[in-house]
Amino acid sequence: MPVLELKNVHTYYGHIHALKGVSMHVEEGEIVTLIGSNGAGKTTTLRTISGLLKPRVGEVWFEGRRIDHLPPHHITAMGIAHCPEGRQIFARLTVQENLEMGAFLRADRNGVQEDLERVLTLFPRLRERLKQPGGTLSGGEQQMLAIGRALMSRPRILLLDEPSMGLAPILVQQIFRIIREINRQGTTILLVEQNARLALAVAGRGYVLETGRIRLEGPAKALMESHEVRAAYLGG
Amino acid sequence: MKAMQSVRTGLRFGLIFGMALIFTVLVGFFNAFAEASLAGLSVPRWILVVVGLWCGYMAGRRAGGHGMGELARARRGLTPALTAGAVGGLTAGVLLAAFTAIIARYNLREAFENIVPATVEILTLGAGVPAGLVWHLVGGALLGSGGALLWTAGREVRPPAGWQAVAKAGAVLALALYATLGSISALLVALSTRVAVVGTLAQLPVLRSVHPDDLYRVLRLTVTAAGAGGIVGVVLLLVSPQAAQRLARRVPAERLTALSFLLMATFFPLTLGSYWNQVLTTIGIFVMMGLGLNVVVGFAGLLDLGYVAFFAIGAYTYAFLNSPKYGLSVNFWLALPIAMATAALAGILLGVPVLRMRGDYLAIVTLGFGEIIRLILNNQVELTGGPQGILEIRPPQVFSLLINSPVEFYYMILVGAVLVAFVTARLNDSRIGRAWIAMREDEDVARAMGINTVNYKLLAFAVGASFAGIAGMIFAARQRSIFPADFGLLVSIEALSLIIIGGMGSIPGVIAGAVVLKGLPELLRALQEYRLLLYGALLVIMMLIRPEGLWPSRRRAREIHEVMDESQVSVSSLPSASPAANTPREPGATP
Ligand SMILES: Nc1ncnc2c1ncn2[C@@H]1O[C@H](COP(=O)(O)OP(=O)(O)OP(=O)(O)O)[C@@H](O)[C@H]1O
Ligand SMILES: [Mg+2]
Repeated sequence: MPVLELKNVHTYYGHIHALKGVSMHVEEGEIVTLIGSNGAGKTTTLRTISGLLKPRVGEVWFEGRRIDHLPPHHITAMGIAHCPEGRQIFARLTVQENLEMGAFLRADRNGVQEDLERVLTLFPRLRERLKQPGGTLSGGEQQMLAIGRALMSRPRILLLDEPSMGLAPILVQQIFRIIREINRQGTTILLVEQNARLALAVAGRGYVLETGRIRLEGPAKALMESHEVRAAYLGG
Repeated sequence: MKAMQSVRTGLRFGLIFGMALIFTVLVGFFNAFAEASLAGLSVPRWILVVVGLWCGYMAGRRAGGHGMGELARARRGLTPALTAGAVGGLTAGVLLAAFTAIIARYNLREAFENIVPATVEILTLGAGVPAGLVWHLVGGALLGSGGALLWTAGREVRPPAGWQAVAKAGAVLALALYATLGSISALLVALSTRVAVVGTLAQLPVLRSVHPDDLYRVLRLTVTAAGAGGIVGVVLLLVSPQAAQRLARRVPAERLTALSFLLMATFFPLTLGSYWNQVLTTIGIFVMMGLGLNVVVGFAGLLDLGYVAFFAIGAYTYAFLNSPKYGLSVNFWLALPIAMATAALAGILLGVPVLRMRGDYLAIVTLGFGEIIRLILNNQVELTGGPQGILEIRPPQVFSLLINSPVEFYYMILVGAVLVAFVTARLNDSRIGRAWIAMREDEDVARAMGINTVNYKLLAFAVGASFAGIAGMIFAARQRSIFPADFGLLVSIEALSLIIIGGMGSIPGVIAGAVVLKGLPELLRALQEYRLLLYGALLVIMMLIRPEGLWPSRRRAREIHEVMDESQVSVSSLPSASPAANTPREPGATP
């Protein structure tokens, strides 16, 4: 049974038909990537999964339970953490407060403390800046903070929306290394990316989204070698 | 070239200050305070002197290179500052002289009701037209130069490092001493009606000299004690720096100040008399309202301009339940939970439709809500008595004691306000408080954290409303009769102003704000007519010199300073590939 499954999902913004029947699934322990050009509907897909948008048609299933009618806080509580696009951190709260907010729904103090340690080990930069307001971090550090905060809820699956956006190549490499490490420690990951080359390199499987529809799907290797993907997303 | 610049700076400041002065005359300030005097000088003369000095100070500061680079400042000498100051003062003087000449020559009463023959008399310092005008010019130039000199002197004199902390410690200790002695004195005098011996103790000169029998006296002694303590602290710093630094470190300034004021609030009213207790009760009602509104605006970040509605609902609920007019005659304590629940319910009812609104829209809708409630109270004559209000509301009773006199009401309010402050403090430190912070910072991200923003918003509205409901009930019980006119927009504005002045999101700040906004006008009773002007001026001045409020919460102070020091902070936190960037930052490097 897949951890996460979308069945023929249609999502609208008013009249705008953003997702036109998306079906996909993510298995336990996988890194699955969702690639596509600007406006393809990647962010919309993640927002639909985490309950911030409701699909008009179709179903979303998580660990054998249907979740598309649940409010976002229930979905987060079930173990889906959404790390939103554009490093949306709490700019005026300190790094530590940001991380603690990530564990808002948890009552186990000791577990939270453990996870804080774990996050700070993954991102040593954040440890040095614990008392600093999040807004004063550099772009890369803010991205680390956003990912770290999502991990603080100890999720079963982590939804990452374009973690490489606006970062220098060195930093992108570093973030992707950390993503692989998080996955190795046992968290399933659904990774949305425009940087198809890198995303397909870390992922086991991938989906290609085009104007609200899944165009291609399959093992990352196969996608990387496919003619269409090379032409459209890998520059020839 | 440079001289021209100084002259121009002077002209600009002179025009601004001259116009401000004329405006002050036109609104009638000078006439109203012609008789009042401070330290032997009449208030209008004080204003003239202060404005002249201030004008010179500001012009001198600008011309003297304030806000410029270290280098530019060092090169500039005394001359440009002095030139600008003198020109500024003279310009303001010329404007005032011209204005005085015009009102002396022509009859402007038709247009400006505050221009009377006496005005000319006041403005010319009693010297009449041609002679008095010379005063304006000479005095303006002299005061302007004086102001510029003050600025230059202030720049040259460097007080010893760390003097603020030491002065603060000294002031706080002196304040604590005064609060203790005053409380003992009040307690002894209050007891002396029962036990005669105590009366003689209360006659000890030390205690008599600090006996709180008048709020003016209390204010004067508070300021004197704090000032003297501060000076002693600075002197100590000069005599023995180590001892002074140790003192500054040891004194828990914030907690001791809070404790002193709590002591004063607990014991001083015993001997303050009816009038001042009435004033203190009003302050207490506003403290409660402010604490409630602070939950909505300060904690949850929802701008509510119709907060008076819940105050009105609390008051009218009690009136319905209690006044013999409706035949229910429910007593105060039974009515209390009902009024709180009604107000909380109204808060939720307002909250539901505005859940999706933010900022300006929310402010406008809540503003409308406040007015609608007032209009309903005014127009549903059969139910509420309309403009005639509801009469014969009974005060509460504690066991056999009927709470009746201002002092008794004051103590009831004190207990209520302390409870409300305690509850809000606990809320702020809880999970709920953290959810509010997250929501205030960014609602979308808060939702992604798994925070049920709908519930937490409604909770904030309900909690804030129920506190206003209690305040309204106590208000109704004190007034014995209530009218729709008691619940106008001004109440909402006052509640919001006191939060802003005190420090958004800070509980001691709300209390300080209520004391300043509701207490000061009472102390400066002559100012009553100009209360709104005072509010406006106070708000503007606060925003300019202390945007975080009188007693801000730590978080808020940090946010404000972060904005101000933004350039500095972001430079120091730039990412860098070099290992040097990985050296740990000093903890608390950002204030
Ligand atoms: N709030 C909104 N209201 C209306 N239309 C929207 C809204 N958000 C997104 N859309 C539209 O939905 C479509 C999908 O947008 P989405 O943000 O999911 O794209 P994306 O694949 O994440 O793109 P990008 O790579 O640029 O982030 C786009 O056509 C976009 O214009
Ligand atoms: Mg997107």
